[in-house]
Amino acid sequence: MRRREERQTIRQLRQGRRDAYEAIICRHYAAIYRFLAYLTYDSGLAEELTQETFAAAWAGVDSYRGRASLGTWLHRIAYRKFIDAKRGLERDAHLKDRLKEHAREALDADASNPLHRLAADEECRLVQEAMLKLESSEYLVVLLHYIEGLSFREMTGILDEPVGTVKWRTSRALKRLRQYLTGGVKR
Amino acid sequence: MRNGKEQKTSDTTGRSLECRLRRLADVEPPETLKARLVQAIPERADESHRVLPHLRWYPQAWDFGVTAAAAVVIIGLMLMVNYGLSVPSQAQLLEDTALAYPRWDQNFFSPDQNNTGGEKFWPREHSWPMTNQSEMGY
Repeated sequence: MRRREERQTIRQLRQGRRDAYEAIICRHYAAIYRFLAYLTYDSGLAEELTQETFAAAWAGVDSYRGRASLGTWLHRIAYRKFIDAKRGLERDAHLKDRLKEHAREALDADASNPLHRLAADEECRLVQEAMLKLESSEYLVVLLHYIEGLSFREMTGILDEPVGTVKWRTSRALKRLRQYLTGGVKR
Repeated sequence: MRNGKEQKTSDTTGRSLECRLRRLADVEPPETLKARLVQAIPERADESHRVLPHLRWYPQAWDFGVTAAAAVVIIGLMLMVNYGLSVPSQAQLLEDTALAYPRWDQNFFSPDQNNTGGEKFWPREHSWPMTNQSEMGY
């Protein structure tokens, strides 16, 4: 969506026009759900967080200044929602180290795994498994850049890091991912 | 099985890896999710946004007006303190008036008083303002 169209949509949104809400949902909900699915590896939690993300966006639409694109803004809200949920899990059940374990288990079980269709493809499954071996910061940049298709500049709006750092981290993550896939590094 | 896996992953070059990562974007959201999101669209509680959209700027305009007025008052006070509205005393006035006129100097010659036509009005004999005439270049 071009910036001018986005500005117009936001203006309509602030006027309370329902079609503007629906246009934003249609355009962005799949990407937000995918992002959260890759972060949580839990379809229920991803759905819940997607709904919370859009609810927070509607509540905060007046604070949106238009400096970042709508997609970046929504991804940022979604990431904050995920962080809050993760903190809640850690606080309640001390599940800090179990999130990745849960993700690995979810690759096998197709009931709750939102990515089970991809996991059925052997090649995709290998890449997913290799991604889970990455550090969380590296996993995040790979997810945002290659799977979500965000530019490095857009990623800085989500991660609050300089462009150079994001580029360097992405490059390192890709290198490490290649090593995992070629069997260069065992972890 | 393991050999096959290694064979599959051994030809992973940078480009192919990026392509494979992009293939992971093919995730379909649940069918009901969109409907639920649409259902959760809020009915704007403040209908004034729709009816009178300009009303939402009033608080900001009020804040701006108050801030500007406060700034003007502060600047006015600063100017009053610096340049003052003080009433000068009588002695001060007299002194200021006296300073407005030059003191009488008996060595001062104006060209009119000298009545020397086109000549220089500096008195040759006089020592003022320079004591040594050679310094004057005569």
